[in-house]
Amino acid sequence: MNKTTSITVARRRFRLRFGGHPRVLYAGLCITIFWLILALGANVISPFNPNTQDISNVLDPPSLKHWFGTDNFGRDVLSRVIHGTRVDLQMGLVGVILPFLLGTVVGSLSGYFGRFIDMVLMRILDVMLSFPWLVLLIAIITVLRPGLGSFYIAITLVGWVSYARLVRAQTLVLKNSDFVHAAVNLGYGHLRILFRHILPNALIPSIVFSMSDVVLVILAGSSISYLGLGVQPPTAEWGLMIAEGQNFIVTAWWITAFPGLSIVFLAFGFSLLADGLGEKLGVRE
Amino acid sequence: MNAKVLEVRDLEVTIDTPSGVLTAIDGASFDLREGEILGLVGESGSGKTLTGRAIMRLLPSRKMAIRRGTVCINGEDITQFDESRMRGIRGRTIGMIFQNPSSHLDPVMTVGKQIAESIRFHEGVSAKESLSRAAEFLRQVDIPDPNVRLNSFAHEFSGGMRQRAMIAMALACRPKILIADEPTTALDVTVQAQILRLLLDLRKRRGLSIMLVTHDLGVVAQTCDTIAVMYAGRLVERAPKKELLLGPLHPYTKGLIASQPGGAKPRQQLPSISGQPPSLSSFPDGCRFHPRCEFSKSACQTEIPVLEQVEDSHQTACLRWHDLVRQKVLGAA
Amino acid sequence: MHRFKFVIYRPIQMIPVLIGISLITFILIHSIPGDPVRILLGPRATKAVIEAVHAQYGLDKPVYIQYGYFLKNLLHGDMGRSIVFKMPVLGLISERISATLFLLVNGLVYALALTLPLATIAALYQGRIPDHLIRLVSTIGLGFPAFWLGIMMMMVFSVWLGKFPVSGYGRTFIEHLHHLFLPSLTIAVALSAVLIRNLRASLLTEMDSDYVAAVRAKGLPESWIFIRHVIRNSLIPTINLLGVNLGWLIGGTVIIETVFSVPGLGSLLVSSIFTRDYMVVMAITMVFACAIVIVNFTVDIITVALDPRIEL
Repeated sequence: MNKTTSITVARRRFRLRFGGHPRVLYAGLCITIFWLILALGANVISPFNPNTQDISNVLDPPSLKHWFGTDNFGRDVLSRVIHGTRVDLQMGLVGVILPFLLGTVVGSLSGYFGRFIDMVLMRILDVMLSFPWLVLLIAIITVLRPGLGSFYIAITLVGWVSYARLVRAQTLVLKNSDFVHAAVNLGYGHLRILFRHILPNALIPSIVFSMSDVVLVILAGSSISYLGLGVQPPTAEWGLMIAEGQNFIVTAWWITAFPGLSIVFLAFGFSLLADGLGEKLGVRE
Repeated sequence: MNAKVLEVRDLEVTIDTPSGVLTAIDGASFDLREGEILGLVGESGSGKTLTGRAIMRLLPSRKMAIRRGTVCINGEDITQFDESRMRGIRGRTIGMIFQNPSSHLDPVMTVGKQIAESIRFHEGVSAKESLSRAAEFLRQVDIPDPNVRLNSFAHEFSGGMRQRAMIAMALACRPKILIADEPTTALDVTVQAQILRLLLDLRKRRGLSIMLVTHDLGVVAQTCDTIAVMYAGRLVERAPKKELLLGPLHPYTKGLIASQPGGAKPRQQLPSISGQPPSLSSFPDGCRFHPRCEFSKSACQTEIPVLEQVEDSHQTACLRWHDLVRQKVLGAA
Repeated sequence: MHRFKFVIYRPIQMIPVLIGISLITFILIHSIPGDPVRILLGPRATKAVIEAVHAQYGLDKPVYIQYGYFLKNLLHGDMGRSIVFKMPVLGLISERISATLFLLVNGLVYALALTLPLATIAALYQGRIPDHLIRLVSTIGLGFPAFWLGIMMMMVFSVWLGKFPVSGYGRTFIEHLHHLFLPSLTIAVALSAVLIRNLRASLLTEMDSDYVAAVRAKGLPESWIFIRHVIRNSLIPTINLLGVNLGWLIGGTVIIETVFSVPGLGSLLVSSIFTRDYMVVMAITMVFACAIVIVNFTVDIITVALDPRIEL
């Protein structure tokens, strides 16, 4: 029996549909890549060191020298925004990948093996989904020490639930499809079927969701930092910058405006990606 | 002969797709007379459902349009009507019932209210009055306990009853013409027979003229007076039922009839038409059936056959229909 | 009314969830570094008091027994004491809850006032400029951090224009509305971004459905169809959506209360973290979670009332 032919043929392939509006997807990609370049090349691109204080030029409005002005320590806001990209982008990506992995493993195992494990998981899901997301994050970070690491731990503990739910639902459906029955009849082990045959198809809604999840995580991360529970000064992070600049809002609006606009723009890029991917892969919310 | 209530001439419907403008219905022409039941037969994709929708000016997508042709009801060409005039026609003059009654009924509104709403709107009566009239229509379609059933929801009905309810809904506007789009396809065979009998009955009792769209020759054989056959967007044959079924003058019709399960002799392989119907974007030149036709000659690949009168009220669009007549006379299998 | 028999079943189903919530809260409390009694009582407690509290909460016993004490105390309304305010947490919560409730309801009302017309316009003008505009704005709006939006609003309306107070709650109902206008509006804008997209999609799905085509075939006008058929069918998924987004709404409230210094549960939560008033933090978390469970139950009831297809 030629193993490679029968099952690779039987494996269902999703086809990318090229109808609709790929421009949404491309726009999202462009914006995201822009931010990625900014983050990777932060040291090269930013005109000043983000932490260099310059007391003589405190609270300067935007000018040719300081495009985004300076803050209350005389630090160049533009450079801090550019460097902040690294932190916020990292928060968004890491804060999604970790829950994605954990949730996928749990959800697929639960959906595939079913019965007792599944029942337990559903109860846990019900309970965890009853907690307001952000509040639970805050509660967990309270227990650990405030900081970026705590944020990652907290978001993994809270965020895996959505992915588990999505993957479990897909696994349940795919478990009963023909190509899986074929694989079982051929005597393939459960784990192999799960990981090589079911998962590639089951992951599609999760991948689309993960794009909009990045937006949620970035907003959560910057909110947590704003509250003082996340990234600590003097690191440049957009939420933190907004908190620091809030006291000077009347005299120096630029300290809060530009980081905020950056959050909006970065989130916009990922939202477009989520919409574009969703259209292309035929997934709805 | 009765007066014509519906006259369709050279109807052309196009679809705007990423790969260009495609013609879904290419010059269809037929009539419907008062009290007649016309069967429009074809495979999926032949354009038969679209024809019904086009007549109602309810094309399913914004990318579709009636490019040419006329649809005359009582002498007026409704393709020229604006939307508000068209709304005056819909329901009141020409009604439509659909294939899948479950999805075509509002799930959160009682059936009674759905029937009553056309009465309320078209005749301006009160809600209470329209509901009691709705009960009367439920009775006309043989739904037992109509007054109780008024307050039921669609999901509480069986498939056959849902279809009856939909017929009642269409009748409530008192149209002269009814387009029935595959009314029995989603139903069990026994229920099918009941619904068809109901349609025949309604024709007799109320003088309805019905255009019955279906892929099932058995259905048209039971109910229709005249049959029109569509293939790949074109009308290929049209004749009174008996003549068409006993003496088809188009190879496609012939193939359709021959492939009916009842026709084959025991231990004979069931004949079928070889090949697949063409897709919208790749219609063959000339006669669209020629790739699958056992009678095709070279002219069939280039010349488009036109629907021509062959005998008394029998029309066919085939360049070689005389060969078929010869076969009929000679009694060849 | 046999469909509503789940009104009896569901509360029973809710119990495991509520227990689970208390369990997670307990785990969180237990994970706080340091002697829990010190946490409860603060750094100035005397030895005698510590020992008494040890006994009361059974802190010398195994963990699961401690959980039992925890539950027992909970059911008696004892959620611990606030070391900062020197009063039972329950009392503290009941003092501050009204501001949060007001903010939530107000925000929700404004959100609906924004969402319903905009989503309807977008659906009716699908594919044309109003639709594209509304979709673009709501997509951008998804990325607005609530705290930043609040600050910007404060800057524009309070500082520059001087029309609204920067913080606080006021004493009378009218004053509440006035003080909470900006915070509620901020929440409303953030929530609307999500709701508009979803409601628009619901409306479009219904407008495209088979039964609407059947109603059109009866010659009824679009406005009639929209009001009597489309809206009623779109209502059900929308109400569900509100339930789903409730957790998000509460999270936003916490932040907005902090930004605008509204004396509600959210700002209490945040300040208690920094004052190490841990019991307050955990109690508020639990209260929020239970509130969500109750609201979801209510949403379920409403859904059954609206949708005749559901049999439970």
